[in-house]
Amino acid sequence: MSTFSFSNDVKILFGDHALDNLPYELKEHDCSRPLFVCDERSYRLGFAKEVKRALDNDMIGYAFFYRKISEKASPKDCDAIVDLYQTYDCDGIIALGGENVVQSAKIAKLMLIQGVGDFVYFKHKSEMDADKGLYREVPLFILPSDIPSGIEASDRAMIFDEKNNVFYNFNSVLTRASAVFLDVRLTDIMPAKAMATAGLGALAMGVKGFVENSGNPIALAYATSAIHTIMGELLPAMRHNSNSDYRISIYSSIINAGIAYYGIKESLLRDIVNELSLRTELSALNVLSIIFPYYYKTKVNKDRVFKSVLMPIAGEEQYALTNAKSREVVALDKLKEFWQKVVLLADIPSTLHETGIEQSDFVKIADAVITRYRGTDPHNNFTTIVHLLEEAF
Amino acid sequence: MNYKGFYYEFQNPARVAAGVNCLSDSVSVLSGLGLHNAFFVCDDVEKNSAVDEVRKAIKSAKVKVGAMYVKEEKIVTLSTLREMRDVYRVNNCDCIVACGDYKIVNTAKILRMLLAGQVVRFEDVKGINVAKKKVNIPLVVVPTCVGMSKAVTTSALVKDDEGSVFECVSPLCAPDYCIIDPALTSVFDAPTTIAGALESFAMNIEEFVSKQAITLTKCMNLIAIREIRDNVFKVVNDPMDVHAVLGLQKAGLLAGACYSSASAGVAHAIASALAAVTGEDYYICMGVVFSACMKYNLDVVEKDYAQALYYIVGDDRYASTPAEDRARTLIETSQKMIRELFDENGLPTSLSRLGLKEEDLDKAVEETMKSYALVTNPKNVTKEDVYAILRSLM
Amino acid sequence: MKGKKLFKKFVTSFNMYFFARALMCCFRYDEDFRKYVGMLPDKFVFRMRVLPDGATMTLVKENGKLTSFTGMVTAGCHDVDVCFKNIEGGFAFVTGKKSFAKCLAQSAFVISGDVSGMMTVSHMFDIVGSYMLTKRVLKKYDRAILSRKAGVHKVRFYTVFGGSLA
Repeated sequence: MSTFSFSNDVKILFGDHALDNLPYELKEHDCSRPLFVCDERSYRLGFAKEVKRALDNDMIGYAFFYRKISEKASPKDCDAIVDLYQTYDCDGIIALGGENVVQSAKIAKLMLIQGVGDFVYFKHKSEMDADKGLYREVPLFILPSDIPSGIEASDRAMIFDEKNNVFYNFNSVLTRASAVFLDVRLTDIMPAKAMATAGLGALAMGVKGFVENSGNPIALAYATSAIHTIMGELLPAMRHNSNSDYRISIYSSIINAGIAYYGIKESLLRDIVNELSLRTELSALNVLSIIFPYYYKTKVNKDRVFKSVLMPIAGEEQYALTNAKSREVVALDKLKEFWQKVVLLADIPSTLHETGIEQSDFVKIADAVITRYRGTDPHNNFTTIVHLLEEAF
Repeated sequence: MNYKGFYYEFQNPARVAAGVNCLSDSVSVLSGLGLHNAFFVCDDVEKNSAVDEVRKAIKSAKVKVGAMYVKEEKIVTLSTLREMRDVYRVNNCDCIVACGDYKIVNTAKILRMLLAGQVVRFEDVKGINVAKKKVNIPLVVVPTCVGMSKAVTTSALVKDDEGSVFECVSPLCAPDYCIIDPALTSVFDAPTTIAGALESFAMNIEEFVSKQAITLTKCMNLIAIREIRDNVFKVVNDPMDVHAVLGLQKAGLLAGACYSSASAGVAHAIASALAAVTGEDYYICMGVVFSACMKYNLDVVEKDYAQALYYIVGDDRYASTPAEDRARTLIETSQKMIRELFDENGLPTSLSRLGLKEEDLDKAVEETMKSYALVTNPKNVTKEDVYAILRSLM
Repeated sequence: MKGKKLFKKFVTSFNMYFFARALMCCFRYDEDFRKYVGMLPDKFVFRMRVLPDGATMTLVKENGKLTSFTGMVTAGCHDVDVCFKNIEGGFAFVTGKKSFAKCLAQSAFVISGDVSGMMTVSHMFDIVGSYMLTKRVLKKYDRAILSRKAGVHKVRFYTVFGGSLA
């Protein structure tokens, strides 16, 4: 019997002049002294200026502007945000930038709500279901300026503490943003390669979200819409990468796919991707874009739901015309065909070998993943992981 | 898709738990909502065993049932609301739990709006965003019938002392937590269930073709339509089929989740007006007018209707229907399905059987033109169009 | 006028002034428009403004007569209050790029007040739009093309040069 629960009240503002609604949303959350955080890249590309202009138009100020978030989110950044927030007596956070800023801001929000002043508090608490808190309101407004990672509108936040070699994976409503703004003014022309890897990564998230959420119609809809948009618009977005409309529609599908994907409680694929991402310095979307056709190859004939994915991939017409028994094979073929087309067109890595991972590390990777994996599926074991990595190599 | 000048906002306000026995699984969530002393709104306790189940669940979440209010009204009146507000205050309640059908959920929504907005005059809740949140009063709803597309929306209806019906739209109407447990749908009343299921079908189609529909809401609507197709006849044949009941409830939930973003269309506007004029249930009015409204919109949403056909008729019939006939086939199939189910259950299929007289037509049209839903209908609706639709159904 | 986007703010205020005049002109010359006004309750006040402190327009029905002007009567004294969240929304509306209904559907503004009054005003705005904009423009922006019961040029002329219309 399918039982599900769903909760995601993040407001998504998408399209023309979405950024102009930031002052209104700030007021709605009684936020008059926000802390504005961004990374150096967003500052240099002038995105911070766009945000400041939008605030200026409505004569809204910010308590402090902090642009020193490091390129890879670290506990130090979270501590810095918490410090500044308290020092300047802020009442909200505006986070502008890529995954690094988003992750740091989300964890800082969690720390602020729980009254935690130092990240050290989380030591030995790597898996957080930290819903207990003082319930202090800390509105968080996320403005993705780089390619989104999918985590923006989800309840997850992940961070790697290099100093102590601990990977923190927070899954809590307290990390949830109040609103996510997707505005073309905050995006830059992306090389076709970056668009391709992000698009394929989102497709992988969407397919995973689709398969794992078959009983949850709301999450299923998020996944379906992401797959549908990517299948239809990724290739045009790569060919016309200066067209901001295509770009922003791919970004919105990444956000939707992320809601479905990060909503899955336990996922071996996600653990593998996180581990590979840590070892290769590649983003999770990049790793997903390489690994997912190999992952689904092992799933065909095992996962009954997989055949339904043909619908968003190929559309109603093709689905209706395909024999019910061969739908999953056709779905995988279509996925692979699309993947190959994108890989060829953008010339992006299609094997783990190309990312610099050594085959000799597979045992270590599998070991780390299986230690972290909390799921109960007996098929997800050490051998499966090594087998998948070898396939993808 | 053309994104030029395109802008949307999407927010799914409700926190939902659905499934068999999800009520007992929700106890931890209920404790986390900060409830202490609940004001319990429900329908007939003796007929509805779900009420007891919900009370037990509340108690196990260490929440006291401070007061219980049982009253059934098609649309809640101001005098009832006054009474409820007083009971709530006298018993020092701090949250509202509603268990019942649409009428109960509607009542609880309006009451929450009054209390959370600390409204003194009732005029201050009528309309859009009139009451502003001043106190936090959590609202938990447990719908016990099928097709509760309104359970998670931000709108509710209220009747004033003169008998006029007003729509209230406010974020305060959206519940904090919605528990959908098919095992609690114990009061099975075939006509109500059928009308409810078909209403959520109609709402999903209307939202699917709405001017403000986005890919995400469209996907939700299509999933809901498929759930209805798969389950409506199963429920008719076996009312105790909990899987099928849950399917229909999911469909209603999806329609509700999209409502605040995609809104509805002309059928919703006319059905609400007819419900106000004739005093008949909104669900039934929707079933009566829906096919005619689909025909009215056909020329602008042909492609969308053709796509939706798949989710109604399935693989073989969809594949064998020529592409140019698909939209019409959808309308015919929907019309046939509604007519069959309505006839079998003795529900009215024409306006005259609904009790609308020729002299009430002007009033119905006038009420329709006041509806918020006309804004998002794919076609610009004029008074003449509404007259034409209604006349075709007389 | 404080802040940035001064040009848009100026155009919005300027167009809103003439929009208010066009409303009164339509009331004088268009039969359909008068029917809609008749549906509004007496002493009905509609206010439209652009946040944070942009142009404001008020529409009042008193003794069966419609008056509209830029500026407001008394704060809080209105049946329907429409606030454009930012200047972009207000600018798109007063320049005819988006109809009232489209602005509503796209959440360009927040409304508080009576639903039926707002819908009636929305129909009135559609009529004004059909006089003030050419059919080509109306088609381009996917707006309702309504039959014009009074002479287009007459309404436009009196909107601009009509002196005191109240």
